[in-house]
Amino acid sequence: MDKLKNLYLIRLFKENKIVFCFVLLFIFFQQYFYLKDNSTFPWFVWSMYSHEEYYPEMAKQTELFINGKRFDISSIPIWQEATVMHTFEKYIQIKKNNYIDPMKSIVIKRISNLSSFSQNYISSQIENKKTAVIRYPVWILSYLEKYVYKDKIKTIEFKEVKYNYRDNIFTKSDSSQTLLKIIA
Amino acid sequence: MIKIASTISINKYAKILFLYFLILYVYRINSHTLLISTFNQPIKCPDTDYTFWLSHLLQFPDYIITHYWLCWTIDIGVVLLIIGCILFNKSRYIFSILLFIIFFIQRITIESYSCSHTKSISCLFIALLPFCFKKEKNIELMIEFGRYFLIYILLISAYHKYHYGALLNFNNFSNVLIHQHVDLATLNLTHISYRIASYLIKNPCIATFSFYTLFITQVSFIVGILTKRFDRILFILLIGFAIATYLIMRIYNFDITVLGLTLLYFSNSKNKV
Repeated sequence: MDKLKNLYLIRLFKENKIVFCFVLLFIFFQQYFYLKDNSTFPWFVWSMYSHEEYYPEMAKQTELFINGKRFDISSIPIWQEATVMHTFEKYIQIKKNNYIDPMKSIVIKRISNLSSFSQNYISSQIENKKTAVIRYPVWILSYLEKYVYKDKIKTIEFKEVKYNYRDNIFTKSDSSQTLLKIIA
Repeated sequence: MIKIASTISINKYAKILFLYFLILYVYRINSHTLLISTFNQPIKCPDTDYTFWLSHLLQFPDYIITHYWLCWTIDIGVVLLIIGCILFNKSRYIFSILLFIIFFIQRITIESYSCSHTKSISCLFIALLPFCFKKEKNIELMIEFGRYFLIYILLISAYHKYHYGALLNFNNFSNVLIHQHVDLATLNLTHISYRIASYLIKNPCIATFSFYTLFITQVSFIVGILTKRFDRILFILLIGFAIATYLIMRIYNFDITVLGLTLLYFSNSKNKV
């Protein structure tokens, strides 16, 4: 019985009812988002690298070229690398989709029950507009110049490069595609 | 009733935690993970996260990212508030509440506009939460909440490794490493992460053993539900886990170690239940 009394939630209930309710609410939402398989801050579930991964025959990656030379993205801090690569991925995703944010379908699915006024407001705040997206190349050029390359940049090129993988060695395949080229 | 009183005073624990928080923030400054560096980035990325959605509906990230001096103020404000939390014991809860709010605004804006949602950032907020309370008893109860949250994260992560099949596929970890380091394999073969990964890829048995070690490390946190006696060992395991994932996978897990400090707090308890 003493052990039961000493359980965290029971102690919390006895000490502070408000904090107890807060903790219960937190646990409820943690479980709710877990069951919905949705990562919503600050609730989170770690499932990275938990899925089966297969031996790759080939790999595809986006590479950054500055002034015609491949930039070693691993030489910069991982968060900076993430900022460059993830913002670019989002940009190219929207550009390839004719400047319609792929989030649109998710927004529509989530808010279909709301009034048209609410729907318009939410979609205008969550989705990226073409007028904003086309400003990205100017921003990435100045970001790379100021925080990454730290020198004058004449050209930037993002390329999608394919590699074949055999015997622990990646060899470049013939096909590579320029996704974005910026000339300063 | 059994009282869980730590031999570390709350003040000392707070100073250690906020100092560590400051060190990690300096690393963020060095990585240019600041509003000022992301200033004017035009593409937002709230993903499917409801908190990010709500933030964008309130429009504060959109407003901040386009105002240079506001970006500056928030970035510097976070540093000053952390220092305030270290220096002022009596008014720490006021500094902590302000830090909680300002840091939340900063992170939501940066993460949305850098299109990088780092899940582990939650740990920093859970670690901060106790100091938003004034009474020592409430602070201690919230530190304990943080400790259980940490245990939950690690256990659910271990469970997923079994549930989604990574654990049962023998060559899985070496395959993960091949996918993880394509950039290094094609550009920087001398990088320490690639040298370690390359050795593991060539020796799948050792790679699998490493993965099982990681799994066992995470599973061992189940002990933390039953007793606080082994908290110091769990803390060492957590630090080892964060360093190993950084070296082998190039994944930053140090935010979780801030929450790991809750283990040190209770490892000094007079009564480790």
